[in-house]
Amino acid sequence: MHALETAVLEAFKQDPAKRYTTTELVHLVFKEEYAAINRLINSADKKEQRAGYGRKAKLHRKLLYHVNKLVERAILKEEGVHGKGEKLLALALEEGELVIQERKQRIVIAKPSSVTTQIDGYEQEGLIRKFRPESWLTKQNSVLLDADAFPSLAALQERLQQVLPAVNDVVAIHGFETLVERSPPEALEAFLHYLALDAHDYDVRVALLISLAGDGDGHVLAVAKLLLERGWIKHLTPVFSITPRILNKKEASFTQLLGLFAEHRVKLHLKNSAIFSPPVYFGRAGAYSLTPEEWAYYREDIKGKADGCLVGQIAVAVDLDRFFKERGTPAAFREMLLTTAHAFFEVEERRRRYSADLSMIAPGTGEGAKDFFRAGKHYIRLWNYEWEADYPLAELLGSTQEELDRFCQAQETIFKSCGLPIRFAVGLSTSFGKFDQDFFTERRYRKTVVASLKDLQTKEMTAYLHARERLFKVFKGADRLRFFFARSIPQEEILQVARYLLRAYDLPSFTFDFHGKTGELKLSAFLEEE
Amino acid sequence: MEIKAATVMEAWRDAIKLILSEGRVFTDDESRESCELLNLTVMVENPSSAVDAVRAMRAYRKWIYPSEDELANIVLNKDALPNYDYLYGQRIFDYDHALNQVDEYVIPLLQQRPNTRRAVVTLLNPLRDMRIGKKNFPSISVISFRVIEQRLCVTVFIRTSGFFTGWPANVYQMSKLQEYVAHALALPRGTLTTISLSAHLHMDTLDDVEAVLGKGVGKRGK
Repeated sequence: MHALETAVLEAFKQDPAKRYTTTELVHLVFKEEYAAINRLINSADKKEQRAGYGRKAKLHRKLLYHVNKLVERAILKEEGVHGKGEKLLALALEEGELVIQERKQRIVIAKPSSVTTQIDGYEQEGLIRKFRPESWLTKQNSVLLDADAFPSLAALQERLQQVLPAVNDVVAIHGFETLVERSPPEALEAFLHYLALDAHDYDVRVALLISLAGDGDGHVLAVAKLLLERGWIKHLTPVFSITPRILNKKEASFTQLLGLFAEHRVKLHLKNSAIFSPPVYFGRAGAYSLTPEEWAYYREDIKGKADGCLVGQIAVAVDLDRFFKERGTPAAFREMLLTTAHAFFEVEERRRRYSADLSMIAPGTGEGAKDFFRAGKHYIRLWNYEWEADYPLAELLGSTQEELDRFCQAQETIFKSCGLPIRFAVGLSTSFGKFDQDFFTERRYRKTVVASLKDLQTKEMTAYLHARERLFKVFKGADRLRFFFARSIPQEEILQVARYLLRAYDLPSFTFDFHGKTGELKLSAFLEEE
Repeated sequence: MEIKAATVMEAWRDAIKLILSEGRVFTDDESRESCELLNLTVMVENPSSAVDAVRAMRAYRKWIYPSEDELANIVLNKDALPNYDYLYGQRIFDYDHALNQVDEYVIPLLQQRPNTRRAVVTLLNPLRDMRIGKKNFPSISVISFRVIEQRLCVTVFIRTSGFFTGWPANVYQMSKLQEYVAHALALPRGTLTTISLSAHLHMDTLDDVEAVLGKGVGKRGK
């Protein structure tokens, strides 16, 4: 078998359930060459750009020749077209084991049947939905890479080539400002362009976690401008860390940043690092964070040995509105969530069997590889919960999380005593509409439209914000609180709102949404905006 | 103290009764109240019966107990899978990425010198394990293989052994390793003995002990 055919099959071996476009396969098979071609395409020199496009087309033709041979042999099959007529390719095997024996070469691809779990009954009833179940055995939801571990953008880019195909929601780059400050602007622009393309191709998001504490305000603003003006913001989501002190010190730069996002009518995510130091970021499924304890553990024990850490493993969403209408009791809720934790653990056992695939994201095979996996958790994400009745809900969620923690700890202890030292954790968090638009019940969102600072200082809003503080605690930082701004609001007022939220509340993060719609928002409209 | 039994299930029940009747109660460093007996030796004549104990634990629905496959894999697989903090199999078959202690040492040694007392495997790695604050520390420390009366006998030195949840798994794992070496030597399996420095039970699991092993087994006192 030709080496290219073997390489294509290796890609399917990593994720047997996946359908690949030819572009994705070209990316995976010709990693280095493709990176070089992208540098040419991104070059300012027109001649180099033309050469780049020519070489790219040649790579596609070369790969297609071998892909067609695999289709002829009924190893692969065409499953339709993507975008502008690109082939979508999948393994011809429905499930089971495909063994390809060629002289001295033997390739075995196991395509598991769909994952059946104890929560399938709940799923049938429409109470629970799995996030991307086709890759439950082969991918992780989210990984965080630490910019400090990479000497250059090129090194980070190389690592991302390994990580992006193994993740199905979001990859975060923590401390991105350090790379911004030490990289030439042209290199940074090419990097972001390439990253946006990759994120699109792999259908994942990349969160750029940027601290505003440093001296490189100009660089950070330039990056924000690039993301907004080139439309890369769709795939690359910045989260800016700030504190009240930094805001005072850098009011002018921050005002410019606000202005940029307001002008482009795009969401601006802010994290208050004065009260919450771990990273917080957002994927399609929902919010992600590490707990303060996990973050301390990362900084003290993992940083330096691994170049980041696993954050999210697999996830489900629970539609609370539907659940409480149909089942209605807190006891039934606890039971369902504990059953979900059981299901996660059983799936995790199967995932460990696939760990050769899952460990693709680890940096190498040494001790650092083990360290990389020590902070990951499974998420139970919640959809459609009523804020008006929020305090009992926060209590219920808090006590349920405690039960989940006890179960996880018991499982870790049992396995450790059996000589299987594993990590197992389940966290609660919020779910976003894009988790699965067809599944969720439609509801009217409580939309916090801000026309002036006074809107946040009403009795009702104060109670609401305190309730959200409690929810943030239950979700251990993995939540999102959005404020929609009326179009008429002056920039100075938005600045006051930011200052007020940073100082007056224990909110780890909040999002300013500049879409500027008014009135009640139906889910369909909300999703369009997402 | 020493227990001898024909099967793992018998040995398991007898050991738990002995720990509860002769052990001392103390609070361990994870703040759990435990009952502990020091230096407990348990010899099983039929190690293949270890699977029964694992199945008994898996049948109990309160928690999820490791599968037979995973338990065997952990001790026979030499690859360093990153999902586990450490792996017995890697330490046995690829110690410090330098030595296959079983295939390159124990088996050839016993083939050449069946009466040797040097056929031992070490699982502790002081350079990696002996760091204050390290979260996980292997319990199985040394495994000794002896050929006695034309049968392969194994003795396992366990630093600390949770006799309810951990010991059945450890015995099953060691029985699989014993099977592997015995097969290579073309010998039948002999006894399997564990020597536990700390043989203990967590007091909050006594109801579970009764549920799995029968009424009366989880009762403290003589």
